[in-house]
Parts: sequence; C-alpha cells; structure tokens
Amino acid sequence: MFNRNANRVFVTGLIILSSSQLLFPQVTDQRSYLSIDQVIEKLEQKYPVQFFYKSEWFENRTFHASILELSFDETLDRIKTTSELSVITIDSLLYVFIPVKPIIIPQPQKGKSDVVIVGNPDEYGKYTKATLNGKIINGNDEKPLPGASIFIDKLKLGSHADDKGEYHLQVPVGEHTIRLSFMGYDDNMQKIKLVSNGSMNFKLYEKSVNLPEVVIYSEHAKSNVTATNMSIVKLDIKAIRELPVSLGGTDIIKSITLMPGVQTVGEFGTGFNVRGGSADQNLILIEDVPLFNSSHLFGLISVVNSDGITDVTLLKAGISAKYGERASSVMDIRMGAGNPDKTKVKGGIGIINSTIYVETPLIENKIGLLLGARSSYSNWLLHSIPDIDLMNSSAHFYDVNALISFNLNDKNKINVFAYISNDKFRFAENTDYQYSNKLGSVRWRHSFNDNLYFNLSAGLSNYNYQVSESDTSRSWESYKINSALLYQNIKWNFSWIPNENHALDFGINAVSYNIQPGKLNGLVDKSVIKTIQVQPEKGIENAVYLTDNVTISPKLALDLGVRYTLYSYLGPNKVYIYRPDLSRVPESIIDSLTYSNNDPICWYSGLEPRLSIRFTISDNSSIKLSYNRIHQFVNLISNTAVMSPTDVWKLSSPNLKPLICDHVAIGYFRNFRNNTIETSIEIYYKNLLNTIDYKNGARILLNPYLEADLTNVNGKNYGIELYIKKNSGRLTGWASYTFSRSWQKTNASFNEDKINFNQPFPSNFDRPNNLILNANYHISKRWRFNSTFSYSTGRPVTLPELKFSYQGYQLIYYSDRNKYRLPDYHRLDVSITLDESLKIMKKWKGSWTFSIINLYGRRNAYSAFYKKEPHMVSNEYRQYDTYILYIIGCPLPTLTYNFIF
Amino acid sequence: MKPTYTIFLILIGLVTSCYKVYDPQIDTTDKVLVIDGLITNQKDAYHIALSYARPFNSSEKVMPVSDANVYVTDNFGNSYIFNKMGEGDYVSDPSQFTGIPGRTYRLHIITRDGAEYESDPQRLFPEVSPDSIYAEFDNKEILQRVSGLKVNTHGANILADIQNKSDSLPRYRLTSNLVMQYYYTIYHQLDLYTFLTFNFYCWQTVNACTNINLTGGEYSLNSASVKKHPVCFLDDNFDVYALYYGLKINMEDTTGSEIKTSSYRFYMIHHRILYLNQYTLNNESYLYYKNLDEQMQSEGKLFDPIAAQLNGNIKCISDTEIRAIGFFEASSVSNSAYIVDFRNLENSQPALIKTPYILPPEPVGCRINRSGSIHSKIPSFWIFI
Repeated sequence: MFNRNANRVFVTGLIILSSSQLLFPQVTDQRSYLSIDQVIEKLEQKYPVQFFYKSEWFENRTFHASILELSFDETLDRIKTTSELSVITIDSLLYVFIPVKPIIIPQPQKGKSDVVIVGNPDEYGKYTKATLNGKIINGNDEKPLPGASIFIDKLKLGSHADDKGEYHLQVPVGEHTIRLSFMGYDDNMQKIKLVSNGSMNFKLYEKSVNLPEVVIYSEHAKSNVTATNMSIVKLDIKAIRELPVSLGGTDIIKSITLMPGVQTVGEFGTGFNVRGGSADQNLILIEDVPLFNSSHLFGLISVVNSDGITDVTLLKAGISAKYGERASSVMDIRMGAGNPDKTKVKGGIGIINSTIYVETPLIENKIGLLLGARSSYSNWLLHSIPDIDLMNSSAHFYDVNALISFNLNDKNKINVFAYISNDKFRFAENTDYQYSNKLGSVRWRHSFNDNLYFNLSAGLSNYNYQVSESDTSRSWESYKINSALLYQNIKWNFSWIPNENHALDFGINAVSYNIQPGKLNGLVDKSVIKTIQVQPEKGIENAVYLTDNVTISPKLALDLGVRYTLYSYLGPNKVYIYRPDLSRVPESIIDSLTYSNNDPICWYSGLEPRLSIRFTISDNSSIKLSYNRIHQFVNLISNTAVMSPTDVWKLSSPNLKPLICDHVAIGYFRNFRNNTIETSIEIYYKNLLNTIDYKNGARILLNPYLEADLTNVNGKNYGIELYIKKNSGRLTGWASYTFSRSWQKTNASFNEDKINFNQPFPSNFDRPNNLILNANYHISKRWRFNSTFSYSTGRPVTLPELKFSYQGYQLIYYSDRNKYRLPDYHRLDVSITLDESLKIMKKWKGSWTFSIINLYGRRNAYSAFYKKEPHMVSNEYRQYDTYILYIIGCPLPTLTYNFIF
Repeated sequence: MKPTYTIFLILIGLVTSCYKVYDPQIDTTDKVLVIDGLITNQKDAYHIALSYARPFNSSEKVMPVSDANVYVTDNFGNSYIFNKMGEGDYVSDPSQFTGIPGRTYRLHIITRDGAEYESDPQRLFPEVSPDSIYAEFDNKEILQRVSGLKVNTHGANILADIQNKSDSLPRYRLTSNLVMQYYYTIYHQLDLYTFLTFNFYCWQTVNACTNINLTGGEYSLNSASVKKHPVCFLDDNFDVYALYYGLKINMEDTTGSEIKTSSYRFYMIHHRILYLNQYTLNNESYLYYKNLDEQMQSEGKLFDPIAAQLNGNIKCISDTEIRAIGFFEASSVSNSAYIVDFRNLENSQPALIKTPYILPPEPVGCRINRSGSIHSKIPSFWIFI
C-alpha cells in the first residue's frame, strides 16, 4: 500500500518533470538511448510490474531515456508504438509483449492512405447508399467464420456473417471505419471508402496466449526480498491451480500444507499446524470473520470453496498488529469478482461434490454479486472404503458463499459477505454428527483522500454441532447433544500515509464470544435421558493497535506495531473454587461463586509488541527479523487424534489462564537469475505459555467440571526452514526442508496434573524432518507434468507398553504420552495435463489431467490403535493387537477433464 | 479469474483405507507392580493378587509377587492381614474380616524389596439388589468362535430394573455367569447279568456378558431408577459342547471315580442357571471401570480419544517415581440366581425363575468352577423341575 501510493506521488512528479523537459528540450548524447532490456529493467525497478518478452522482437530498437520520465502508461504506449508489438496485461502486474500484429489484407484497391476504396470509382457520387458484401474468413486457414460481426460504430449499423461466412451490409456511401470481431479472434478495424456496390473480404486472426515459459504469480518477483514481512505464504488462485488436484478439485488449505513450516496430521484431519502449533492456534479469516471448523468430510476437503477467492495470505511470523486472537498464524482469505463488469457462470462436477458459481454485475459499475455453492454426494466413496465403520457411514455436505459489492462512489464502497456450510454424517451405525458454520460480514471502505482511508467491518461467525445417537431397539436411551459458538466482532481500521516513509495502520477490534459447551436431550418422549446443560460461557476481547511501516533508508525498513488486548470473562456463570493444597479435581471444590449476566468474572490484559525488520544487503538479497507476542483466549479442547466435531471450545477463565505466544524469527532471503530463483532460510523460536492440554482419562463432552480435567502446559517450538523456488522456465517448482521440534511440559505440583512426571514431551505436532519437492515441467506448449513428493517424520504416538489382568479382564497400560512415533510419512503424487487449446477467446477450452496420488502405494500410518480381538481360532485366540490405520494405501489414479467457457 | 468447469470423468482406483498389524519396538524395562484386589460386604475370603506387568509384545507368563506383606486398614483404625495362599495370591480370613458398608478401607503392600504401596481410601457403599430381572425376546448376530461367522440367533435380552435407594447416582457393575447343566449315564457291565449305573451330573460355566457392564449409560445420569438395563443376551440353544468325564471302577467295592478327559462332546442341556452379581460402586471404582471399559471397547475409530494410561488408586509412597497399576476395589455385592426357561418365550411364558443362589462346587482360588462333574450324587445347586 505504501509503495503504491509513494509511487503515485513519484510518478506525478515525473510527469511534471517530463513536461518541463518537453518545453525546454535538452541536448542529449548516445548514452541517453537505452536498449529494450535496459528500459524494462528500469521499469521493473520503478514499478511493481514484471515484463515478459524476447529481445529479438524489438529488432535492436533503442528508446530515448526520457520516456522513463513519462507515466507508466505513456511509456508503455511509446514502446508499443515503436516496436509495433501488442501487450497483454494480467492483473495490472504482468505485461507480456507478443509479436501479434493485426494483418489487414488490402482489398480490392488501396489508395495512398490506409483507406480502401470499395466499388467502382467511376460511379462515385452516383448513389447515396450502396451494398457492401463479402466474406469474413480465418486468416490462417481461409475457412469462413459464421457469426463473425461487421459493424460501423458511428452509424450503429452492423451485420453477421452467415453459415458460409458471407455478409451483406447496406450503408451510405462515404468513408467508414469498419470493426470486425469474432469470439476468440483479434478485432480488426478497417477504414473503407464506399463509392458504390462492392465486395470486400476480411480476415481475422485467432488470439492466443503463448506463455510456455511463464508461471503466473501475482506477487512481484522481488517481493520476497524487498517486503518487510517474512514467513509469509501468499498464493493467488492461479498459483494454487498449478498444484496437483486432489480428488478432482483444488483445495486451498490442503495446498497451504505443502508450504514450509506448515504441516497436517495426515490425509484426514481438520486444519493445519503452523510451526508446531495446534490447529486452533490458526486464525482463518474469510472476509474478516473466522472459521471455527475448516473441514468437510472428516478433513478430506476443506470448507473453503476456492471459487471466488482472489487472494490467500498465510502469516506464520511477524504478524502485523492488525491481527490478534490466535497464537500461531493468520490465514486471510479474500473474495472478489475477477471482472466485476462481466457476468460469468461457472460450475463443475467432481468425484464427491458439484459446484456452481455466478459472478455478475447487478447494476453496472455499482453493484456486483458473487455467489458460489457446493454440494456433495460422497456416500459412494465411503462405502467403497474397506473399513467396516466407514462402510456403514454416510456423509453429506454443502456450502454457499455470497459477496455483494456496492460501489457507492469513488470514496465509498461496501461489501456484504455471507457464508454457510453444513456437514452431516453418520459414523458407524447409530451416531449422527451434524455441524455448520455460518459467517457474515459487512465492510465499509471510505477514502478521505489518497492517503487516508478506513475499513469498518462488522461480522459474526456461528459454529454449531449436534451429535445424536439413536438405537431403534433402545429408543428410550437415544439422545442428542447440541453445542454452539457465536463469535461477533467489530473492527475499525484506518490506513494513513503521511509521507513516503511512513504507512500507518491503526484501529480497534472488539470481539465477543458466546459458547454453549453442550446440552443433552433425550430424543423420544419416554426418554430416560436427563436433560443436562453445561454452563454457557461468555467473554469479550477488545484490542487497540497501531502499526507503522517505516522506511528509514533504501536499505532499512521496519514494521513496528503494538497491540493492547483486554479480555474479560463474563457471567452468567458459576466459578468453582478449588482447594489450593490439592489437585484441581471435582472432589477438591470447596466453594463456588455465582455471577449474573455480563458481570465481569476476571480480566486478562497484555501488551503485544510486533516488529519486523528488513535490511537489504543488495538488489537481490536481504535479512529479515521479526518478533510478535499474541494472547489467545479461546482454545479448542480435544483428546482425539483427529480434530473432531465434538471437540469443545473453551474460554480462558479464572482457572484457565490465556495462552501467550512469543515468536522470534530471523531469515536470509536471496534471489538469483533476475529473480527467477528465490531462496530463503528462516530460523524461528516460539515460546508458548499456558497451552491447555487434557489430563489422562479426561472427559471432554458434557463435563461440567471440564477445567478440572485440563492442565496448563508450556511449549517450546523451534526450527529452521530452507526454501528454494524456481519461477520461470520450462521447469518450475520448489523444494523446502524444515527441521523443527515442538515440546511441551507441565509444571504441576500434583501428580494428577502432571503429564509424564513433568518431563518435556513432544507435542502431537512434533515432526522434526519435513521435505517437500514440487516440480512442474512444461513438456511442450500443451503438455505439463507435475509431481509433488512429501516426506516427514512420523508423528508422536502413545502406544501400549505393558499388559496385565484385573478381575479377569486382560488389559494394557499405555506408555508415557507421545513416547513413541509412527513410521515416517512419505508420498509421491504425479500428474500430467494436456491443454486442448491455448486460444484466449475460444469459448470452450478443455484440458485433461491424469494424476496418481501416492504413486508407489506407501501405506502411511495415520494413527495407531489397540484393538481387542475376538477370541477366534483364526487369530490364535489373541487377546489384543496394535494396528496402524492408513487412509490411502495404494496408488490412486484419477482422470479429470477441466474446461472453460 | 477464468470460469472453470470441472467434470470428473473416470475414477480408476478407489481410496483404500484399512489397517494392518503394527509391531513397534517397545522400550520398557521397569518392573511395575499390578494389584488386583476386591473386598465386599460378604462374609467371604477376599483375594488380593499381586504380579508384575509384562511387556505388551512379550509372551512371558504372569510373574506373581510373593513374599509381600499385605493388609487392609479401615477408618476405625482396624487392620486386617491377608495371608499368602498361592503364588501372588493373598487371602483374608473370613472370620476376622468382613467389609462393613459405610466404612472406608485402604490397602497397604510392602514388597520384599522394601517398596511400600498404599491405595486411596475406598468407601464401601451399601448393597443394592435388583428389583426385577426379566427377559424379552430378541434376535442377535453372534460371532461363532470356531467358524468365525456371524449367525443370527434367537434368544432374549435379560433386563434389570433397579430402584435407586439413595441420592447418589446409580452406579452399579453387573457380572453374570451362565451355568449349563447336563448329565449322562455310564453303564458298566460287572458280569453277564450285573450292570453298574453311574449318573454324571455335569456343568459348564460361561461368562454371560464378557464386556464390563455398568449401569448408567454415558449420559443416563438420571438419579432415578435404572430401567430396562441390559444384563446380557442369552440364546435358545439346547445343547452344549462340553467336557466328557470318564469313569474308573474300583473293582473291590464296585465304586467309580471320575476321570477328566480331554475330549468334548455335545450334550443336551438339562437346565441353565443365570448367576447375577450386582456390585454397588463408589465414584473411583465407577470411573476406573469406565476407563477400563473404554479401553476394551476401543476399536481405533477416527474420533476415539487418544489412548491414555489406565491409572488406578494405588501409589508407591516410598518412592514416587515407582509406578503401580491395577485397583483396590471396595464394593458391596448382591447375588441372585435365575433358572433360564426359554422354551416358549414368544408366548409370554415365564422365562426367568428366581432360584436360591447356590454356586457349583468351588475349587480353591475360583469364584465359580468353569466346568465340573459329580457322579451318582445330585449336587446341591442342581435343578429339577
């Protein structure tokens, strides 16, 4: 933001300066003439743009240095005019010179000028109207183009070519500019002088994109070096689409887990883990409101529908003071129409779901609508999995998202966003799970001037789940459990650029949490189930923040910020007082305090300094340092390996202190070969205070004394991330290696609160070695090959260690928590894509993708579990065994057809 | 953004999720004491079994702990010694010690190496008997042990109604054994005209419910009565595959003695008796059995809780680093027995008939003899209708 505005000021200055030069021409020497390479290099330095071209197309033309003093558009026009090349612009960031020149074949006579005379010149002045006819054909193969249009704008007269490509048009005699157009072809403008009836044939040439050596990224190539922020993963949807498809579609969250420092527990499992943090430590924002459950189908697919998403940014460290609430990362997802002035309809049929997407202006240039929806039919997939529980399961989901943009005027814009997702699945025989996310936000952007504007947003996120268990033979014991979380926030963010060295953001953020941890009801009238309702929780989290992006010198830039957070746990609630000399268990409760509605029960507050420093070493290298502190007041309590829909969100309370995360990172960034190869090394250290973990044997659901089953744990995460990315050429891709550790430790005084006798133990997300290799090879213009190899150390696991018997039952005793590890995880996915057509304007463009997930059929362990065996001859009457569960145990080939129109 | 339509055409393969046996390297060298102890309100010899836990993947046999001093104290300052009876088996003297509801008991163990263990105090709750036990016709798929096939079997659910007599939650544990009585006759030809007849009264005992049976489903925290609580499922089979007892004749007095053989045969069941034990649990016992049940029911489902150590109520007080596992339980027990008569269940004929609680002859160290035989003399528990 700062750079853009600074550039705007700078460019204005240049225009004034260049005007003075035009008025007072100066004597120049040969050094004032630049080659195209020099011009482009200077333009790329000056503006956040990138050019693609071949030098030979410019035929050694030189350009006067003064054109650089013109505005960007004027400079570009000069180059186009001089070189007679065309330019394709992508997102105003990428400029591609292409040697496609409109070819006009003169017919049948050509005067001295570009005007073509049609008709018999001897009959000039004899008629007032005349008929123009002829054929419109493809310039390459001379085939007719039925439907091509011929139009005279000035007269608003036009016609279309018939099946044979022939047209007839009656127009007044005289000079006219004829515009010829056809979908997928370059427009052709031709001046004619019609003197009498006559014929003229026109040729049109197909448009095409010929970018075999270009990978499209929205970010400027040097931004990894020049930006102040570090530990940032920024993907636009085009970049994500370069990745292998998973189960027939693109999945943003699954794609993010291929980035350094981001991991997931396996093929299943909700969310992701950033630098050893748990999934609930990630703030996933869609249009300013957070998602509380990001998965469909046990985590096989994320709830984020990629249709309509324009930008995804993941901040792993150096998190701006604008953000808070969660300790490990922020994922900011933005939606918007690609072209708000054009209606687009998009749909698809996948292996487990279908999608529909509409993008249309409701009032041109004023109101735009974006609407997307998905719905599943995934039962067949579950039923084909040879697991008895999954075979007896069913699953269904849908999600709908909508964004309406109101462009009130140049200074005011309002976005209204709504999202709903719903999952329903029956696991095994009798248990039904249902959960939903409902999100909504309104954002008003108001600009006072070019240097000062604000975004005022209000949003809510409502997460609900219901578990019901119904047994027809014992209906009186059937029950359902409902739980809900309501998040509401208001955020008012001001952006101010007082001068070219400062860019400030400041504002306030107020959040309220309302949690209904669980309510139990019987499902039938004569139920023996007693209604139970766990005490609801309420809290507010307010914050003020200020951040300043300061450019001290061309080499040194800082992003300084501070955030002050004030949290209050509110009534109505009953707070238990525990005996200080005993462990926190229900039996040690000695008193309770009852608070009425909105009474503050306890307060927590803290200052959160944020700092990012970038020191530029050279044009293509820099060192960055960052530090941030974040308080987290809401935690997801889970004692399952997979983030389950029945996990309980819990607020910080008098007996549960808030999580405080201090995160320091340092990195070295260097680009090679004209920024086509990016490299980085980042080292980080995170200190987590008051992470919440569960005690052995904890009961999470419907536990009125849940805090008595929890214990505070301190964590230490550290690691080093190596990253190299190649952006251009036929071979593109990246390689990343991460070494990281994630440790936890209780500091409890009582045995009941200790985990592993207060000794440090690896967290569930401790996977020391992680390697990702991604390669994308453009075999030819139409063939692309992609492969992704991932390797990581197996995750920690608690295994049976001893066996014993009690009262005739054969039992086992598990090891200390996370003492062992699952076998290492590695997988290779490959895909090859054939593009049917590269023509930009062709209505139907298709591509075939053949992919194989898990090429060599590795049976990666997802989890390990103990299972009691039936007392059978076939298993030699074994009492129990340990198993590992794997999700995709063989090569999974898919063939996908994508098409665009 | 370009509009993209995606049509999935062919899915050649299928997602194949499954599981396989996993044999990790287990690293454990510690000797961990296992305590298996139960005292009740009945005038009986109580057993405390001590052993060392074995590595999970080892084939070692049980390692009993002998030469330990074992005693129980109550909250009145009384102390009761448990004497070593067998390898790792310590038994109380019924004439000296009977559990009294309302009192709390604590187990003390001192092993030969000087380690001193102590349980948390356990309160013995009063005995509660079931109000009624009855049967309802049902079908159930039962896994046959030999064939490994699931077979749809006719039978009945045995259900219990229990009136809760206190304000506390109804926390009971039910164990049930089914004793199948069968008999046969062996004729011995003494000479051409003389036949000796030996009637064999035999029985075989099976666990009617192999799972841990606790009242109060996870969310049935209703403090009122327990209704229709499932005790077990009994099929309507009338034969039993049971041990054959042979005969050894003493020619001097023409008496016979039983010989236990290794052969099994099918016999027609004469009667079946359901022995039911209802334990009234305190809070700690209930939670321990609940955790124990969760472990036994664990099937590796996706949303199953992460495994956790099954910690009991016994600690080493001489060295807190030393672990002990197992549990010392103090629970009152109510016993009852029922003749199972399913011959015309569907026509609402009485299916369970209450009968005196007389156990089959009990060998040393066992609560119920799994199988046995008495020849020529009708045992006391034998039923004739």
